Amino acid sequence: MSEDARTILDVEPGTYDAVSHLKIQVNKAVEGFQGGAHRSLHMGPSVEFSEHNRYSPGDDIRNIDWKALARTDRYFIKAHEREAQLSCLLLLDCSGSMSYRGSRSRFSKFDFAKILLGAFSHLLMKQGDAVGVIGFAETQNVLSPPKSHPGHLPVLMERLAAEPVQEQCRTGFSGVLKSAQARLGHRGMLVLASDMWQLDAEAEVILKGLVKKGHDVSVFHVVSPDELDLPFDRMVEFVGLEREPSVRLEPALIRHNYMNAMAAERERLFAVARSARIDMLSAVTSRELFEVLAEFATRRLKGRK
Amino acid sequence: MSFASPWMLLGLLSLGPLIWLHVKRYQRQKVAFPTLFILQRVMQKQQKQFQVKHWVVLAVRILIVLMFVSALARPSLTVWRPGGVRSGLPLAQVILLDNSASMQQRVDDAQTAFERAKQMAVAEIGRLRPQDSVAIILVGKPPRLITDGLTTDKEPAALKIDTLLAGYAADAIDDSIVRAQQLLDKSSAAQKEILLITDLSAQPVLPETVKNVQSTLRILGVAPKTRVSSNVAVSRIDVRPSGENKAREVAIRATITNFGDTEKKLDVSLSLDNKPAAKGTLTVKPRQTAVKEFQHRFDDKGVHFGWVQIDDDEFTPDNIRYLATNVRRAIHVLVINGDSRPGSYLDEVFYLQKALETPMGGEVPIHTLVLEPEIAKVTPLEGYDVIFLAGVKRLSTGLGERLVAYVEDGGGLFISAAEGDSWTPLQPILPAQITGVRRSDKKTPYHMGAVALTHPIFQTLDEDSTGLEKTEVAGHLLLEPNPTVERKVLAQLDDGIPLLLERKVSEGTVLLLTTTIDRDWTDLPIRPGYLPLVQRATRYLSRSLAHREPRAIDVGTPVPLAVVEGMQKLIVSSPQKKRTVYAAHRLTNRTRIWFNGTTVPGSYRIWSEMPGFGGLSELPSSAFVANVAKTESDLSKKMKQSGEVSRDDKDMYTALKGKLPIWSHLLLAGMLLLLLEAALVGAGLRKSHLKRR
Repeated sequence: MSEDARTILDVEPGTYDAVSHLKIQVNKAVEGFQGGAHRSLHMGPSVEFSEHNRYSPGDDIRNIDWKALARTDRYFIKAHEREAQLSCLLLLDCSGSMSYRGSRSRFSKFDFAKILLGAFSHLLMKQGDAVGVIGFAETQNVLSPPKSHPGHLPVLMERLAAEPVQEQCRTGFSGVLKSAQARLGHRGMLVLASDMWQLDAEAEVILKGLVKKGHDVSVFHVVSPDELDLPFDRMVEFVGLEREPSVRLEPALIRHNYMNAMAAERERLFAVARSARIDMLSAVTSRELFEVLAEFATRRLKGRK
Repeated sequence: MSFASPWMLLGLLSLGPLIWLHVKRYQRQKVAFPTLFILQRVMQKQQKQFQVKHWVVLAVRILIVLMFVSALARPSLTVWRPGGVRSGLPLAQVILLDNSASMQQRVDDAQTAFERAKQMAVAEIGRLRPQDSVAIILVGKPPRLITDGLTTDKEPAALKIDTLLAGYAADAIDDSIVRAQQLLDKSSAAQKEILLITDLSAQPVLPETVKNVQSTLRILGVAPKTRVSSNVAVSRIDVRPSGENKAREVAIRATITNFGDTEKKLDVSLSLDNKPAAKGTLTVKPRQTAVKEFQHRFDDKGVHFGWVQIDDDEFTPDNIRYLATNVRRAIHVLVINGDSRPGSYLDEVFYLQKALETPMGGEVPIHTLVLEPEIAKVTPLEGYDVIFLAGVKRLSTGLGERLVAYVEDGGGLFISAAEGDSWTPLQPILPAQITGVRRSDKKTPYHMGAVALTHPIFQTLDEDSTGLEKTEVAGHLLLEPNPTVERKVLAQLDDGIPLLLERKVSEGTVLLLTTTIDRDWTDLPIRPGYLPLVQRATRYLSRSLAHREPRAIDVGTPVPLAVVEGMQKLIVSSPQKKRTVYAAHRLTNRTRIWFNGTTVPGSYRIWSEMPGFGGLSELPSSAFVANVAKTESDLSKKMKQSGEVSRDDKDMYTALKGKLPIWSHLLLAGMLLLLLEAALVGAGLRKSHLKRR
């Protein structure tokens, strides 16, 4: 990882070393004009054998499988998969709710998401993939279009680090997803870091559409542990981060019901992800960043197999 | 409800911090939070429940504090319930045993009410448990504690009861209850009880007394089987000189009261000086009184004792009533001379003494004794009918206090003016406050003005021959009227300044002459009216003698005895010849001492030992007789109280006022409330904490 990239990742000492060896695989074949580390829909020069084809005049004789000729007395040409470059768009949720930190986390959800996406983009660019980032809430801010040249990473990191939370703004999933669809064009990868609380039916449809079009969609569901178990004891007036009316209550008395409701809501989100074949990963901000990325990479590898 | 330790209620102040903490806990703490949509979803179902719970928890917490604080204050409920209220906790019991005279009535052929009351008291003690304590107070006036306070050693207490004899005093139930409560206040026993054993012929217990009792109050009635009383009593004796101090004849009037419902014909006998003196019969109608009058002429002067007696009936102590009378041959006047010059017309009392000792035809002679203040200080005053304080410029405090007591007891005091500070000790009995002296120019003296001609002193004076109207006054005392004091101006100067004033003090009378009794400030002594004036004043003052007959008091009443400076010994001899001796050290610096030993009816005689009087000498004027209180004779009275104690009940066992200690119940309630509070608060938390874990 370059020194610039560490402007974000340095807040998590050790993350640099921990994530450097990870490799992010794409579960689907991708389209790209430049060669890369991922399976392409097209055959091309690669070390990965794919199939045998009958030799026809004009084929490169370097591809003739001489062993197959010796066994069958026929000319076969070894077809190799072309390894394509991945075009990945990272979507950073900048809504007000992402500014929550909680009592047991070192980072706010927003910072955690930034670090996560920063490390993620570092890994992808190390593989030679093109990475772009869009920050979004009620408005979108294209921090960087997908690029793969090495000089792009420090710029991306810097812009990522400088992106602020949009206070009291809601998450506008539909707009950013449509925009991402247009930007990716061919089959690419879409990674969303958000708490997903504003995911509505329209956004669900768009997400499913993205998957159907062959995009590899992953979601980091960023939540604070406090959101999961409501660890407050005294009477509290809860003030909304996205313009919701405040609520006054004694958390201890509703904790049980709250935790049930929270579990149900998360289950709903994961169910939506499963049904749309979206890889959704719980990124609780009290977890180590390495754990989250490692889990994601592991799942990717398993999915590839 | 009442509290044994009411100061513990101060603990209720902790309610303030409790409510403050509770409210503070519920004060809003603002937290920006992302998942409000989930909170709102949950709250929609539970909001009302939370609000109710919040107030319920507060109410339960307040109740917990109330319960524990109240329990520490050891409350008792006031319960009016026959049979009393008792729990299993240790009991402190004070038995009020009525030993008043009425308890000598027979309740059956074999027993008096007091004997039965003793049996009941012993039985009550027998029922007490080892941890219980008891004290016994005799209810007769004055109340008397016969145990060493509350004791768990019950056998000696029961034995003491066995040895008790019935008394002759009136009852003092209210005082006894108050004293019993004072004893119980010192006890730490959880249950406290006052048990009154009485024949119910007492005065009703005052409602305030019952109200202030912080213990169970029970009354155990000792009622005779026959309810119809036929008691007849000698209820009053009046002894009056029959000849206006002109002879030694007295009229003795005995009032007989029939408390029964049938007419009674009685033999009434009079005994004087331990000898039968007269006898007669008297018919008394039911519920009425009749008077039997005896005339008697005493041969000797001095104090004579006697009694009037009627036939025996169911209640004997009131069939005899004692009397004492002081027979005089002359009016004894003590003149305290403030400016003594023996044999000289310049002597302060030269004219007074001459005027007093001049015989008046048909009148009781006046005997005077002139003493200087220093001698008067150590002289008993009780034997004198009238005292003149003539020009005394300085009066010792001791003599002043004795003069005040003398007047209050019915004596007559004549005070004439002097320059000095002798007024201060006499202030309580003076007709007005003396502020100074006014002198006139010798050429223009004041003259006597109006006099109260209707007053006995001036009534028989012949206006023309007395020359009093020409009396010149060159100096007199200035007075400042005291509106709270009732007084009469009997004579005044021509400018309206009072010259002679009268004030009644208790039983006695004080006359104040605002000028001198000699010729220093006035020429009154040389006026023809001077002699009849001082003689009439003396005889007028001595007319209160009837009130100063030897005292007749009820048994049990304390009697004040006058103490003279230098008195070495004072002895009271009871009718049973029992002597109570007050030694010199108990008499020092006192003007009176209270004798509390009037326990039996009869004559009480007093002796004193004064230096220079040659040993013990009797003080006849201090003697007194004690009789059974009239209130004890009406045996048909019922003691009324809440719960209506009726004499028609047999050996009533009635609780007037029960005290049920409830602090243990409050503790239990507090514990249960604690559990409830824990359940209320913990119910929501338990699941949440488990979940969080």
